[in-house]
Parts: sequence; C-alpha cells; structure tokens
Amino acid sequence: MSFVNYQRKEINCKIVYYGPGLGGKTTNIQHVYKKTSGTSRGQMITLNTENERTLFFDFLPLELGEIRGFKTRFHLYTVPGQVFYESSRKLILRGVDGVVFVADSQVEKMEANQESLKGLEQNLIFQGHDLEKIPLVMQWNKRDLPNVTAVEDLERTLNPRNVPSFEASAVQGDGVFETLKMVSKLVLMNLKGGLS
Amino acid sequence: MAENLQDAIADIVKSLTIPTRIEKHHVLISNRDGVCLYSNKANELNISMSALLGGVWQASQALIELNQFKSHNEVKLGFDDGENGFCMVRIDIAKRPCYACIVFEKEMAPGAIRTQLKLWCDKIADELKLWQPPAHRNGYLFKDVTDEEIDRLFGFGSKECLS
Repeated sequence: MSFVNYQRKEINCKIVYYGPGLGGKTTNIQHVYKKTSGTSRGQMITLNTENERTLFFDFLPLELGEIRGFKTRFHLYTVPGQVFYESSRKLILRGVDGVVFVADSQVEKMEANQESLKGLEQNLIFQGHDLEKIPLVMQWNKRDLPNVTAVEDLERTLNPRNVPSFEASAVQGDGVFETLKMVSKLVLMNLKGGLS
Repeated sequence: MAENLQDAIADIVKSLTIPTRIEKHHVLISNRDGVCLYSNKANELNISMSALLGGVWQASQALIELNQFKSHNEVKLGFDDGENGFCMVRIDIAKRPCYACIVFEKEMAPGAIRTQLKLWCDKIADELKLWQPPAHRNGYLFKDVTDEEIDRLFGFGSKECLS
C-alpha cells in the first residue's frame, strides 16, 4: 500500500511484476537496474535458486525525483513464476499499488500465461482489490523470438479489459521503460489523499 | 501531531534514550509493506533492508502457519553466528504490525540486545498507542499526471541518457 509522507513530501509505492515462469520478469528489472544511475536506484536484491530462477522475490528501489513537489520512490518486486511458489506470490502481492503482467509471447506459453493471469486475478481479489481499478499494464514480452503469438491474439485472450499494453523484448531492453512509465503513471494517478 | 508513523516514531525517539548497547548497532523499524519507518543510521541500504524485513518475517510466519504451530510466547526471528547477524521482533505500533530489527557485529550477547530492542520498541509502541493518522483525505493526490511529467521523472531512462 502506498505510503505518503505529507510533511516530508515523500511517496513510496509498490509495483509487482507478475507472470509465468521464465517470462522475463526478472529481466525487466535487471534492465531497469542496469540503465539507472546510482543516485536513482538502491541496492537490488535477488533471492534466487542455483540456476538463477527467482526463489522468493527480486527487489529494486527506485528513487525517481520529484513530481509536483513530492519525492517519488517506487519499490519494484518480481514474484517467482513457477507454479509451486503460489504462497510466495500471495505474500509479495500484499500491499501492491500497481502490477505489470509480463506475458511470454511464445506460442507454447499461452496456457501458462492464462494460468498465471488467473492466479493473479484470484490473489488480487482475495486481498480485496478491485480488478477494474488496480493499475495494471500488460507486457507482451519476447517479441524478438521467431515463434510468437500475434499481438491481436494476446490482446484478445489475455487483455479483455483493454488495459495499457506494450510489446517488449526485455532481454534487449525494448519496451521495458515504456511499460514501467505507464504503470508508474497509473499508480500515481490512483494515489488517494488529495491535498487539502 | 505527526501525520504519519515515520514522523511519529521520529518524535518519540527524540525523547526516549536508545540504550547504548543497541545504539552502537544498526537498528531499523519497518512497516508490514517494507517501508522504512525509522533507522538510527542514515544508510543507503535501509530501503532494501526494510523490504527484506517484511518478506523474511511474513515468509517465516507463513511457514509456521502451514504447520499449524500455536505458541503463546512472543515470536522472535534471528540469523547469526553467535556474535554477528541480525534479530528481529514484531511490534504493533498504533495497531499496525511493524518489525524492529537490529543488525549486530561482534556482539557477545545477542539475546540480551534482542531483549533490549524489544523493551525499547515496547516503549515506542506505548507512547504511540493512541496515535491516529489524520482524517482521511478525500480525492486523489494527483490529477491528470501528464506524460511529460512521467518522462521528467524517468529522465534517466530516456534514450538520451542510456549508457
């Protein structure tokens, strides 16, 4: 849940990258980490298995500067994508302010995408979120690979609500910041607590 | 009156003397969402440490709950080699679950500093037991955030700034 300090003029928001295993969630924030200057980001935490798959979460704090006088800090998390880490995903989604769903565009991954998306929706509902209101951005990742589903089919199958979506190739860095900027914008516009 | 827990805790800590024995180590308090509420050391790692605190405690709690473990004692969490490591306790500040952690080095009695940490945090919690945030502010904090404002925020991510 966002934490706004009106006296210090600071905002802390939580964004979670969600999606099926090996879909590119960690690659997304690794790219963000690589491309941000040292003053704009903190220490990246990765808790992963021996073969470098996310075990618990990745975490990257971004201190982006100011918007309308408020210092803005985004906490980026990724969840482990493998099916049996469901308990961990539930924990990491607690207090989320915005979600990026990283879909794997490969044809054979469509079922995994659907299962993961269904899990996300169930977990968000369980935590009391309104699916119509929570800031959500879809990322169609791995567009650089040869055997990928057409974007129109991804949109039709995975994005019935027509939330903002971006094509991406996280490993090449394409679409990563476009996705992050959009979810950040949606999160900021969704922050409650108007100035009196 | 402080408007948020960070400032409320900061105000209280000014008036409460932090025990010398724990002050020499790194003391951190974070909320359940991993936001740093207090640290006795200005440290660029505070943000990441706070995020880990929330995750570590909640994962441990989930693990215990799977085994339907019931305890009437206060739970403590620790990771140390006898003189270096950290320990953490949960404290409820203004009815909100928070985590207090002390990271210690060359400490001969980790159990003792954990107890001191808990006692000190209990005093903070006691001072803040009636604290409430100000009445809910209505509406949205920002209206119509523009793409230009977002681009300025992410100035480091623009093509011009890419390394």
